[in-house]
Order: sequence, then structure tokens, then C-alpha cells
Amino acid sequence: MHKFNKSGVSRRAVMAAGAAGAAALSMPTILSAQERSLKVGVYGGYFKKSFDTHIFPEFTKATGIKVESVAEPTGEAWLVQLEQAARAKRAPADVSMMSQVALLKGQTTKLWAPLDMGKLPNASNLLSNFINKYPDGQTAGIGAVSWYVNLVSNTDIIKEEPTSWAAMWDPSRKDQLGLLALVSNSFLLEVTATTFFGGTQILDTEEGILKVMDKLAELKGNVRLWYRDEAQFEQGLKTGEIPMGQYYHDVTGLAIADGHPVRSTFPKEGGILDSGSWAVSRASEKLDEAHEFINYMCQPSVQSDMSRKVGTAPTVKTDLLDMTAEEFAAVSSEIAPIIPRYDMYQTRSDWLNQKWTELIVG
Amino acid sequence: MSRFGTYLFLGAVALFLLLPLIVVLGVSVNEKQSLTFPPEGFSLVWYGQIFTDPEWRSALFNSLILASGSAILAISIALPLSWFLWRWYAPWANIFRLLGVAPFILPPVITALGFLTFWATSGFYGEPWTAIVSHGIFFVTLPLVTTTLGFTSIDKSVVEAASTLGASEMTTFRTVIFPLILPYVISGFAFTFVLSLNEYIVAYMSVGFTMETLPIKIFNALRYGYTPTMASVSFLFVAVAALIFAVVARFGDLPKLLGNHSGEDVK
Amino acid sequence: MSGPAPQSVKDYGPLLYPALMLLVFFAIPFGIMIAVSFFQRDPAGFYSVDFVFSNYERFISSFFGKVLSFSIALAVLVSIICTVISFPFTYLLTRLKRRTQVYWLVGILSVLSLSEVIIGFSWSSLFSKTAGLTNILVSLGIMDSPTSLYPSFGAVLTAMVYQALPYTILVLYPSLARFDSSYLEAAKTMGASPVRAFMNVMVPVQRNTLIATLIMVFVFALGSYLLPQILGRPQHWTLSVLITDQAIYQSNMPFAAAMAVFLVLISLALIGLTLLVGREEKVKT
Repeated sequence: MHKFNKSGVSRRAVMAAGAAGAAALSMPTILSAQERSLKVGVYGGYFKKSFDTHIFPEFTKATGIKVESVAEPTGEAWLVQLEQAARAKRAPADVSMMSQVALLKGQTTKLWAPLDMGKLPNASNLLSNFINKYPDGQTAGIGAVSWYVNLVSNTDIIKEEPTSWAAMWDPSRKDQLGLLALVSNSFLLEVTATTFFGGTQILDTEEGILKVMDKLAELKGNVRLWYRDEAQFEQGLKTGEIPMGQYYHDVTGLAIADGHPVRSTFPKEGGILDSGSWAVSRASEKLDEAHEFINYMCQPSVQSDMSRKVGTAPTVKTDLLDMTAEEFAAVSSEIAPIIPRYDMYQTRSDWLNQKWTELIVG
Repeated sequence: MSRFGTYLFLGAVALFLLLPLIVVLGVSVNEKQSLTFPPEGFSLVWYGQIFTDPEWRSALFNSLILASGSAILAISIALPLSWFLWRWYAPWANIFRLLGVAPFILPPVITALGFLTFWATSGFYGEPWTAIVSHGIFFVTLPLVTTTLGFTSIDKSVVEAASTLGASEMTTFRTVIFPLILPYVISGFAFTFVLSLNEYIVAYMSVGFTMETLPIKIFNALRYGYTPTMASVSFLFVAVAALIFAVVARFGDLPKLLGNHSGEDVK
Repeated sequence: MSGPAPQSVKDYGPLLYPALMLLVFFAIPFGIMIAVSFFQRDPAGFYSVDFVFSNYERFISSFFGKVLSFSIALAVLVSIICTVISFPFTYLLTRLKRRTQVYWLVGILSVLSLSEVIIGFSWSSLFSKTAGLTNILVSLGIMDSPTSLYPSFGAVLTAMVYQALPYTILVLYPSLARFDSSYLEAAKTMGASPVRAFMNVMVPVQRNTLIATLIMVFVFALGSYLLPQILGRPQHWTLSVLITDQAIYQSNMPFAAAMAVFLVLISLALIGLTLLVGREEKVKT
């Protein structure tokens, strides 16, 4: 009797402990099932802030997936980190907004998980050039947003609005320009080619590129600052210390709204139209959530929202948007844009980079 | 040099060292979100933001952990090494002294790249502790130099006296050597701590995306849109550093810690 | 300085842990870097394991020669300026009352804790047209209108000197504190002016300290990559800037590694040369 009792107690205790243990073990899984999450990389600063306040909360409301946003650096720095991390089987971000050059480079090492178009019905809203494909036809990236890099100027110093990129070559602009320092994000070769050589076809050959570079070298004396990070130039532009240059149309719009004496001009040759695509790291384990996210972002209504609140240009077909003509004009232009020659940066990257460095440093 | 000339010279150096701090302080009290100097208006909100904004707060916290962890690690490597090299005659072991000094000789970006490839290859890329190890190794030079300085200043006859009196190696170290060397250990710690607190590229390359330290946060702010918070946090950092060193000076002999062994005021 | 040779394996014990840490976490990563410098660059992506010299060949050009000589010249200049300012400064500092010294040291250590990012930012403000130093000169009537002093070589140099000055002072501090000023007094009683006495007595006695300081500051300045970018024009970009560019923006690790190895070799050679010259002169005197 005594013995039985004892064993009974202990059995009950064991069972209770077991149940508690099982409950404790299952708790986190229940929690994580309720709280699906996704790490999304977007350019840091104002861009990330706008996404955090206007776009991501709406997505969470619609899908229940929590977004943890990661500030990614511009240029290809993020690509290097993603690639290194993927080798260590880690994904600092599941989905990242990538520039076209970086996306293409990532494709060559198969960094991007192929996307299942079947799970992205909204992708059909996109303009076809905003869907990035692997050579074998698989999808590597989906256009997220596009933006213009425009001719900007300080209205206090430069009273009359310039109308052409050629204004940068004007001898009176000596030591007054702020330009992007990297060949692969300034797109100045395309600008020079379009402004002075009738289009970007001249960039097909090395001789052509060198000719364009010679023309570009003529404006070196006008350049005050070759900037890598946008804030470096923005300060100078606002104060008028560096009264002209190339800059992002969306961020300039924000500065205007804040009352700074600046303007962004779509030159008659066209603004530079660059874009970012959503791509998923192959190390990510959240492919389902990633698809849901990308699909959500491809909706015309979300795209219109981004244009209104972030200031980017949409990647979906214009006729699907519910934007007014005025809203559209604020983020885009009727003038045909200058489209960067992304292929050039991929096929000639090292040569181009070397010549470019010699051009601006030499 | 005449007395006046001396003060003029000292004053000029002081002014030079203070100028940027004045700018940082001025910028940090701007009323609006712009980095103008002299400041427009006066506001302390940017100081409040360091503690109320979770991102700045966690960056501050990360930096403090990183700095203390790497300083402890650096000392743990430097102290036995410099002791060994002082205690024994083993020329070949100087190779490790060289290894300890080398991280400082390389341009930081190279050490950073070395760590990046290393952590990626070993599969630990992104773990917070890899930053502590990276910084500990990167800054090991500093305590190595200070403790070596400390050991050379020890009068060997004192140690010999201890061992002739029958004290074991361990006892001698604990009772005679360690107290003599302690100030140098502390200054090595302080150096590593402060430099780690401000180091950017190695931290960025090893854990940049999983753990945002304060310099990374400041640099990102510099890239994407200036906010006076970066100025306020810098000023706070300088103030904290001043406070730490002032406390060290209050309870210890700061000149001695930095290698001044002459007794009281020399004239 | 050192004691007897280690008697038994046990005596090597304390060496084990530091040796292991330095080998695993420094020698191996550095070895990987050297290995990578011989890898084949894949222009479209990253790199593949190989043994090629093309990364070094690309570096040997008049363009990179120019950048390298500029970087070295800049670092030498920074190190000389810092030493010239710090040497008398630190000497005077060590002669102050100990209590006063503490205030100075706390201040210097705090300046040391400023990050390169902040130094760059605050000097760019100081050199700017709108918020800069020239405004003070204008209000004093020395200048007619404010101008911007950056980007320029002078701006890069000033900020780099600013960054390296606290280090220089702290490196010089221990040896100068030890210096017995009775030598100087003796020279002065023999009729030498204070400055002359300083130059003729102090400088020769402290030669080794001076050489060590020059080298340390030189190496320190060689690694600077943010200040030339923030405050300089492209022609003021140092090799460290280009290395960072290649590694971070071009993802060209092999080339970045090759440049880095080259930079390390050059600085080691210069350090060796300096030490050699220092030693020979010592023998002569």
C-alpha cells in the first residue's frame, strides 16, 4: 500500500512535469505561428523611415506578418554582405530592395532564390521591364519602386531654372557641382551620351565609352564634391554651398516641402530613371512570407500609396493606378527618361571602374 | 621659452583640440532637425532621443557591451604574453609580439576584410560575439604596449628577492608583480575600451547587420540624412569618456597610468 | 631585459593561450587575405580559388603609383606635423603641476574618443562657408566675405592631424615624463636659449622615442579612409579609400587584398628603413 501510494504520487508528478514541459516547449511554436515575421532590407534613412511609417504597418494589418526592417547601405556594400552571409547560411534580410547593378551581380552567383510566379499573381500588373529573370527564365527579382535622379539646384544661388544637363558643363558653374562618385550609381556616362552623343548607343563599345569619358572629363573643374552618401551633398545643396548637381527627385521633394530653397528639374534630355527590385536571399527560410510580401507590394493601390507617401515612381502599368495627373507629375515626367545601361556595368565592370577612377581621381 | 610663450602655445593646442567639440555641442542643441552652426534656437530633445528612441538606446547598449568585452579579451591575451616575454628569454616567441602589434599596423579596412572572410568561412558570420573577438584582437596591441611598458619598469631585483625568499612563481606574480603592473593593465583596458567604443569598420564588417553599434548608427545617420542626434550622442560620448577618465584620475594616478613615473611635481 | 631561457615545457604554459588566440584569430584571417589576393577575380561576381598574379599586375601602373605616393606623402606629413607639435607640447605638459596634468590628460583622452565620422563632420562644418571659421574672420574684419575651405588638401591634412594628435601626445608622454630636466637647466646655465637648449639637448636624447612616434603616427595616418573622402577631392583619396571602394562597392576582394598586401609591404619597408637609419646614426654619435 505504502509502496503503491508512493509510486502513484511520483507517477502523477512525472506526468505533470511532462505536461508542463510539453506546454513550455510548444509555447514558442504557437507564438511564432501566430506571429509570422519577415526581415526586409530597404535603403536606410528617409527611405526606411517612410516605409516604416506608411507601408509596412499596412502590410502587417493585411497579412498578419510582422516586418522587421533592416537599413541597407547604398551601392553594392549590401550585396557583399548578403553574399558573405549566404555562404555562412545566414540571411541578414529575407527580402531586400536591390539596385539593378547589384541584382545582376547577385544573379551570377545565384544569390537570389528563384521566385514562384504562381504565388505572385499581382506581378502581372508590372511593366515587363521590371521583372528580372535568370538566363534560364527563372525569376530573380520583382520591381519594387523606381526613382528619378534629376538635375537639382539651389534656388537662392541659381535664380533661373536650368533646362538641360548641359548646364553642368557651363564654365560659370566652376566648382559648384555635386555629383555621385561611383560609376555604377551616378549614370553620368548615360547622361553625357544622351546630352552630347544623341543617345546611349555610343556606350556599346569601349572606344565609344572612352569618347564619352573625354567629354565628361571636361566638367571635372566644375565639380566641387564627388559624393558617395547622399547626406553629404544634401547639406551643401540646401545651404547653397554646392548649388547644383544630380540628386534623387524624391528626397529633393521632401526638402522642398521642408521649405529649403532647392528645386529638382527633369531636364529636356530626361531624368535618370533607376529602380530597385525585391529579391530574396537564397539563405532565407521564409520564402512563403517573402512571396506574400512581394505580391502585396505589386498591387496598384500600394504602388500609388508609395508614390504619394515615399515619393517614388511606380513600377506597375500606369493605367492601373488611381493617381491623379498632378500626383503622377510629382513623381514622374512626360519626358522620356534616360535608362541606365545596366548591361554595361555587368560586362565591363572592372574595366569601367578602373577608367572611371582614373577619370575622377587623375 | 618664456612663460607667456608657453601658455600661448598650450592655449593654442587646447583651442585646436576643442574647436570640433564646440561645433558638435552647438549642433546638438539645434531646435530644428538640421545641423546648423551656430545653432538655431535651443533644445535638448536630441539628448532625450538617445534614451527614448529604442534604436539609439540599443546602439548605445551594444557599444558598451562590445567595448567592455573586447577590452577584457585584449587584456587576457596581452598580459600573459608580455609577462612571458619579460620573464623568460625566448627570442623566437617574439613572433607573437609581432603578431600582437600587427593588427594595428595594417590599414583597418584590411583587418576588417580578413575578419569578414574568416567569419564567413567558419560559418559564424553575424554572431554578436564575433565582434568582441574581432575587436579584442584588433586592439590587443594597446594593452600589449602598456603592459610591456609596465614590465620594463619593474625593478628585477625586487622579484629576485621574492624568489630567493622562497616564493613560488605564482605567488611572486600575485603579490609582487601584479600590483606593480596593475595600473598598466587598467590603462590598457581604458584605451581598448574607448577605441572599441568608437571603432567603425571592423564592427561593421563583422556584425554590421545584426548588431548596430553607435559608430555604425552615427555613420548611417551621416549617410542618409543628418540628425542632430548624432551630434548629441557624440557629445554625450565625449562627456562619458571624460567622466570615466576623471573617475580613474580621482581614484588612481592618471599620469602614472599613462606612463609618467616621475614622482610628484617636477619643475 | 629578459630572464633565463624557459626550463621546461611547463614554463611555456602562459604563452599557450595568447599564442593560440593570435594565430587563430589574426594569423589565419590575415593568411586568408593573402590567399585571396592570388585568387581569380570574376568580374561579374566574386572570386574563384586560383593562383594568379593579375591582381598585382593591375596594381603596378602609374595611376596606382601616384595614389600610393600621395598616401605615403600624406601620412609622412601628418606624422611630422603631429610630432613637431606634440614633442614640445608634451614636454611642457609633463612639467606642469600633476593636478593640472590630470585635467589635460582627461581632456586629451576624451578627444581621443571622438570617432572619425564625427571628426570629419565637425571639421567640414568648421571649414564650411555658412557655419565655418571664416565667418569669425569676417566679423573680426580680417576677411571681406566668408569662403569655404573644403574640399581641399589643407582640410584633409588638418583633420588628420587633429585625429592623430592625441595619440602622438600619449605615446610621447611616458618617455618625456621620465626626462630629467636638469640637463636642460645645465644647458641654460651655460648660456643656451631655452629653445636652443631644447633642440640641442632634448631632441638627441629622445631620438629613439621620436623615431618610434613618427612611425606610429605614420602607420596610423596611412589607414585613414573616411577623412580624405569627407574633406578631400578625388585627387586626395588615399590608397585606403580605394581599397575600401574595391572591397565594399566593387566586391573585388582579390584586388582589394592585393592592394592591401602591397600597402603593408611598403609600410613595413619604410618602418625598417627608418629603424635602420636611426640605428646607424646612433652608432655614429
